[in-house]
Amino acid sequence: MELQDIYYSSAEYIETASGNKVSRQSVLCGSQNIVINGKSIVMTDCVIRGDLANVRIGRFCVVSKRAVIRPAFKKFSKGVAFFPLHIGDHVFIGEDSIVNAAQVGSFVHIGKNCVIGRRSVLKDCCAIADNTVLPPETVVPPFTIFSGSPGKVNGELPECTQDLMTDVTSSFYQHFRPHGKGK
Amino acid sequence: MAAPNKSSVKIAPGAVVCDECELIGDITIGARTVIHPKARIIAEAGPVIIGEFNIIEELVHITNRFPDGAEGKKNSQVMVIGNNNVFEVGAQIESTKVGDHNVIESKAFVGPQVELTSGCIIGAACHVTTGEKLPENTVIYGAKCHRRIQRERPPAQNLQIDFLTKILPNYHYLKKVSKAQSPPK
Amino acid sequence: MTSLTKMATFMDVNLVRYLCTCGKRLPPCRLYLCRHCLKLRCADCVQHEVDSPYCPNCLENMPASEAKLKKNRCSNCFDCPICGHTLMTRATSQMVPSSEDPSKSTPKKMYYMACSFCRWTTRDGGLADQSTSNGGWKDEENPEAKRINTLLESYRSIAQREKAEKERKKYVKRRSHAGFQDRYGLTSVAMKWKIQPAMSNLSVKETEKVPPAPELVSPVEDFDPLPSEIFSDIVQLDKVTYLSHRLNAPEFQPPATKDLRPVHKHLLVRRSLRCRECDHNLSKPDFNPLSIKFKIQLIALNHIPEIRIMAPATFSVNKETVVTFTLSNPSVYSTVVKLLPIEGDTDLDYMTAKVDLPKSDLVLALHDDTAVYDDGTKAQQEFKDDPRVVVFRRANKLGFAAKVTPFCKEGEVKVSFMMKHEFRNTAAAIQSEDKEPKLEWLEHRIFINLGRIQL
Repeated sequence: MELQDIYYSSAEYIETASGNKVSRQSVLCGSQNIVINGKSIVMTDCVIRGDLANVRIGRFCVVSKRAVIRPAFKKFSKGVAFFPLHIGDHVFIGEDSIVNAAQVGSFVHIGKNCVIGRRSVLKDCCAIADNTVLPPETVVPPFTIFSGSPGKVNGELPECTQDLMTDVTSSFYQHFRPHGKGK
Repeated sequence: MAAPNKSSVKIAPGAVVCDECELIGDITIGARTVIHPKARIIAEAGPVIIGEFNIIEELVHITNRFPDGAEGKKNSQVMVIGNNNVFEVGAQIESTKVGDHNVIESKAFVGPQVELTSGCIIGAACHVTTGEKLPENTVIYGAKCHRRIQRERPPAQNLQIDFLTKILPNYHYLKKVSKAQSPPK
Repeated sequence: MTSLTKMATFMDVNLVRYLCTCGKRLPPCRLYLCRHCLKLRCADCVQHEVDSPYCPNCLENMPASEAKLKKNRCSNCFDCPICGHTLMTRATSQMVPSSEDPSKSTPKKMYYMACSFCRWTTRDGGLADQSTSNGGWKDEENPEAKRINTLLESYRSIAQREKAEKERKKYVKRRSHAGFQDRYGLTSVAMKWKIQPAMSNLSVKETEKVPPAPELVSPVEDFDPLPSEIFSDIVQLDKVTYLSHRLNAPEFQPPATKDLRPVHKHLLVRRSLRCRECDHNLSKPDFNPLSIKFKIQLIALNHIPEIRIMAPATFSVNKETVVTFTLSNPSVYSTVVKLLPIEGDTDLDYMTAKVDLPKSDLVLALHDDTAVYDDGTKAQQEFKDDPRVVVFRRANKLGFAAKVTPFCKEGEVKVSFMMKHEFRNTAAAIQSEDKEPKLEWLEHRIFINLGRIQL
């Protein structure tokens, strides 16, 4: 089915010059360390922790309501460091999910209510099913679906995942419209 | 929510409490404890006392809730959280007795009847609502909340606390360290 | 798996399914179009070939023969025997006696593995810490290894004989169904005795030895009675293993948690798909397990027009509802599509409603990658559309209206029809001298689930 229009109140969202739509109700800590490349959506009550380390989000990403994006820390022999978090293009992050990853590739779908453990690496074209708990340092290879707790390989994505995710995220952006404006 | 009228937050020197977190009621926060923005601590049924060297991350809800059938009786129970505990993003704690060196992982829920001793790990998305005192070093993990006892208690997070204590004041307004009454917003 | 597919693409791709040549109904993202047979294929009716096995954790790939030697497991990565998560190496320092002066001790870095999910460590299994970070973890030897090796050996020699015989038969061009049996060790033993006398006068090298049959194992007849403690002792649940733990290590099946050992991580494979009819590749991924590129990829979604439901609608019995479908063209040529009803087929399993399809041809504009950057106004005039049929048109997509009248009282509203469309075969092999690719008409049967009847 085609995506349906989702309306938001234009007072709530800020649209940047590069086409990002960011909710005023989201919490962007250390916003000077957050780069969102354009045409991405950050919804109500999201938390992005740029204060801990740099966060870079690509184009056409959707960060759904109440999701948390948080760079992960690692302990070294001398002190701790938070790893910068890079998210690729056309990534969909579902509601209530917590992303503690070190890297999220492009064309990735993270379902609702997931916990992506510290320093996990999500490669391009992979998917995390709803309610999955990925333990720390999990590697998710391309074209796999992870589910369960602890998250394990549970299926394969079709070869055209790149096209599907591109279509989904860009049409999501198109259908994410302010109230009152015509088609 | 019936917030208690007389409410006071006591923050010991050395603690880092971001102003963007929500503290309601009679709450005491020990030295070197770090509370991230968007955490929420509600002392509804009585005071909440948090010890030293704890990390409370964003979207953590610590609630001292009225036990069933005892609504309205103020100060009916005290919630005590020990030292060196870590509450990860989105954890919910209603247990009134939390010892030391526990880790409550993301999206975990600890019900009011549970007592955490020390060195326990409540795994991500695990819900514990039984009425029991968890033995020391218990690990609860996985979709079916399996249990096992680990050999060593989880390591202290002092290095992380040092780092956060240094970095958080650069980006956030902090709640003032005080012993005096400071009305919540 | 199907529910995951749905989640993975956000839109419900399973609502519209196309009929595969093998009779399965699948969404077009799970179908392949063979450019040589011009038929739809699915993963269940094509030949799968292992391209490169790889470890899902360290993402190292290896040839299939090497993977076979390693029993399709990674030699460097381990899974936790308790919860199955990948084990992490951790460093600690231990005090060891100094090499120069045995009375003094110096710190030395030692490594052990720990699970970050259930917190199991190799120390729980009684394994000593290692001095190198990348392992040196010894695998225990399978107690049955000797027996398994003798069996393997003897079956291997049987297989070899089979192969030799098959070659011989090929040579004399005599056909026998014995050739089918060569993969399944046991049955072929029986077969061979039957064939052998007939073959003996034809065989070239009759001197080959018959492999000695492996020694038979006598079945166990009596067991010791269960020890009485098993009934009286209290079971300590955290000390005994679950069935799943035991099955993870089939060669040892440890009953106590203290005997659990790290499990070598299973490999995954990258594979290519081949059409069974014409032997052409339908999908061939890059060898590198990290790459998301394909050398060959003939997904139906990228070659045949895709139908989608525009918006959910409400239905009631015998009441006409107008449903808008979208049709998009993946081809770089404009494409004519005809929608044809299916006559005289009223199987309620897949048709619970009557559908009035547009009678006229639908012309789809070509797919243009640069169209995203246009404002989309100029293409409107090129097609003379009947506004009652074509609801909108945008780039390579159009929306058409169809009237759906459910004739079932409850349950799901399902329609089925044929889609006939132009297809320009751009397969390089076929496109020899003509500049224009050959035009073909393809026909697919479509199944659409429109939702439930309003009660």
